[in-house]
Amino acid sequence: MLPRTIVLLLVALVALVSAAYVRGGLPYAMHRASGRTVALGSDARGVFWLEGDANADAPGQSAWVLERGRRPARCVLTQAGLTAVAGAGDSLVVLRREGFSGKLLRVPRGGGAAVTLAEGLSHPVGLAAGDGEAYWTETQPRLVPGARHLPATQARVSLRAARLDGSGEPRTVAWLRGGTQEFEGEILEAAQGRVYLVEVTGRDCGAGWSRTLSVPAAGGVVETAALERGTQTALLHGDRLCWTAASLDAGDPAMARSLNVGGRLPAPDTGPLTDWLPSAGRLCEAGGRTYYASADGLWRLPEQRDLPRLVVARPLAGESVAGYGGAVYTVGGGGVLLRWPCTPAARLLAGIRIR
Amino acid sequence: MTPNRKLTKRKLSPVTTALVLILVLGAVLYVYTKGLLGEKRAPGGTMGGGGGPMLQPEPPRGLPAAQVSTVAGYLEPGLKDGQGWEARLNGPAAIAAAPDGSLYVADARNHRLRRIAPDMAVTTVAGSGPPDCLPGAFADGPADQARLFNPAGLAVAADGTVYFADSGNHRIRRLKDGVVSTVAGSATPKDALGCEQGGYRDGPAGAALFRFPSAVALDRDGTLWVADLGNGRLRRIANGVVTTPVAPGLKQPMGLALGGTGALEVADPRSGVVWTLVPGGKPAVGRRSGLPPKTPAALCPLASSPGTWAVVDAEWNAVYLLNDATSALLAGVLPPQPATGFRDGGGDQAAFAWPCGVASVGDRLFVCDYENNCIRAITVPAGWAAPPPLSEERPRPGRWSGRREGDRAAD
Repeated sequence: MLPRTIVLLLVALVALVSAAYVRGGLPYAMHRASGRTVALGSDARGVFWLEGDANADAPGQSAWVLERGRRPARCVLTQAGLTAVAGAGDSLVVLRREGFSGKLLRVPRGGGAAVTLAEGLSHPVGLAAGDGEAYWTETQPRLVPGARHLPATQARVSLRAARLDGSGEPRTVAWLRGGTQEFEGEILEAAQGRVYLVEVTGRDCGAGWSRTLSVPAAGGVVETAALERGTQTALLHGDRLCWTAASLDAGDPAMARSLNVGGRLPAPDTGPLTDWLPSAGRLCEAGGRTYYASADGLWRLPEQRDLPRLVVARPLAGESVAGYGGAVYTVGGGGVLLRWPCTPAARLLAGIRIR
Repeated sequence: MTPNRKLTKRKLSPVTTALVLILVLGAVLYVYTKGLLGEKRAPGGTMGGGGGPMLQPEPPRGLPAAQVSTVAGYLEPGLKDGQGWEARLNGPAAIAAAPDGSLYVADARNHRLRRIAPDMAVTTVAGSGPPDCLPGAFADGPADQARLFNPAGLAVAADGTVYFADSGNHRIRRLKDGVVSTVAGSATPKDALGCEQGGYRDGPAGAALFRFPSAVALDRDGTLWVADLGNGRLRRIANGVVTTPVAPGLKQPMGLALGGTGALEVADPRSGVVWTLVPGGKPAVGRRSGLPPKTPAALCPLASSPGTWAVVDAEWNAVYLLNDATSALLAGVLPPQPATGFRDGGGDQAAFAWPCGVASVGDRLFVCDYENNCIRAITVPAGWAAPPPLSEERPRPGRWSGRREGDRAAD
């Protein structure tokens, strides 16, 4: 028989752990933005985002970072017209739009003067950094109006690159399909000598197509890793490429999505991983798992073919989501940056306020 | 104790009760019969006499008797040979019928020429290199090694030679006996993107310059006509020399076709008309009744009906038929704003997404449905030029205050 005191202590400990676990499942406000959060991203160092005024179409006016053990969030750059941000080791790279033109800036995470990596950019959209370079897209205006079926006459989209140390001139990595006024889609990642991106085309002529492309960073043939109808999103997770697609099972495919998975490099599609995801949402990775944030909550996606699991049954802003550590970060009402612990350990630590 | 008078029940007279009930019932009946509940009313209100329900005019539609079907490719872009729907195209920009009944397709985003046999088997006949990216490339030689860059308008000679406008390379080329060669056009300086800029120069074919040629038409005597889209001019290649005929009025020649009389028909989307150019004459626009195409992009003579032309309107996603007297919407729907779609069926239901090329075999039309990445076939009904009968089964959905724009029945 254990002494009664030890039993009571054990019971109290279990109760405290349970309470901490339950408490850790609640969202935790990490930062309150002064306006609207324009872009939210993450890398191995932490979470970063842009803040602008409350106008829905306004670009960001400041760049912020939040790193482990270094709260509160820090503003590292204040300039008008910021549209995209990406992590690049000890720095952030930021796109600044000036009308149809723009420039690429690098700013240390710890704060300091911004360095211009490239300027005079034409319709710059999308941003990623890796392997010592920053990647973005530029669009040249169309040459002949009304000749959509002659792609050479239409707007031309190129994937561009510049060295993060500022050396050399920006270069063209590859030409994309283009045709639209500006690049539509996102640059996913630049790593292991390749750049991955999702290009959305033909939206002005129906549902359009989303193609997940793999481009050699040194330049070369653009390979299509996935081609899906409609506007889709993708995520690189370890050696896997996950991408959404129109649902195979739902009565109205426009209302639901399936999730496909394949190899990181162009490889045969291994097929749908899950189905019946809400139609609008974004993929993110946190704590080694893949999540899908949508208007009806946060879904944890299976490793093998299975149903998704709803882990947070609260409305989330699907367009702004990032994963870092064991938690998913979203932007809530009033511009509050919310942290949603997703792993048991993260929940427990969050419950006793160790973050 | 005196009773509270306010709490005392007052008796209503039966007459008053009846009057109130009659008034309430009358008001309800009035509201119900006049349809005032939850119904929008047109400007003018009840006093103006125009107080009917607010109606949107029904958009002009194609002919129900015209049957539209998909015969090659199917929505998803790609480069794959195969039978009919199994094949994959990527932006078919132009199509031409060959004497043997097959069809040649300029598969623009694939930088290739494709052939569709009469049994709808699709094969690749010219072009190589990576598809679906800019820029393409230029190389003459064996067809499977030649490099093209967004091929566009085609014309097939009686001996099976395929002439085509290699729009991205700014050249006119031909495919003959399995070899691709250049008929006219030469290299031009490249822009910052590495693409040739094209130019404008008449003279010997090997030295002449074009800018984004979009269509070719072959005359009986071997003269090639070129729609030089980027230069906004009509060009002529005869006896190895390129010239620019005077053609006032043309703004953006995009599609070309030759009729049996030797007259050249030019689709000009910017001026919004189909020009007729008789040899030695000036461009003229025929006067036709009916609904004309708004932005004609390409055209071809209807094989089964001399003097009739099929015209595709790329921007408005519709197919028309024209003769000397009449113009009619054959397939597609014309809402107030251009709308794309993909639907087979009757011409009044069919939907397209940037139809930009057309060819005729017998009484069928074959249309390049560019953004749907497929070839659509349309059977032309015999009495297309006659106004459709007003059917009892398809009543007009409302009262009309005047003629609808493009109302064929009203014409």
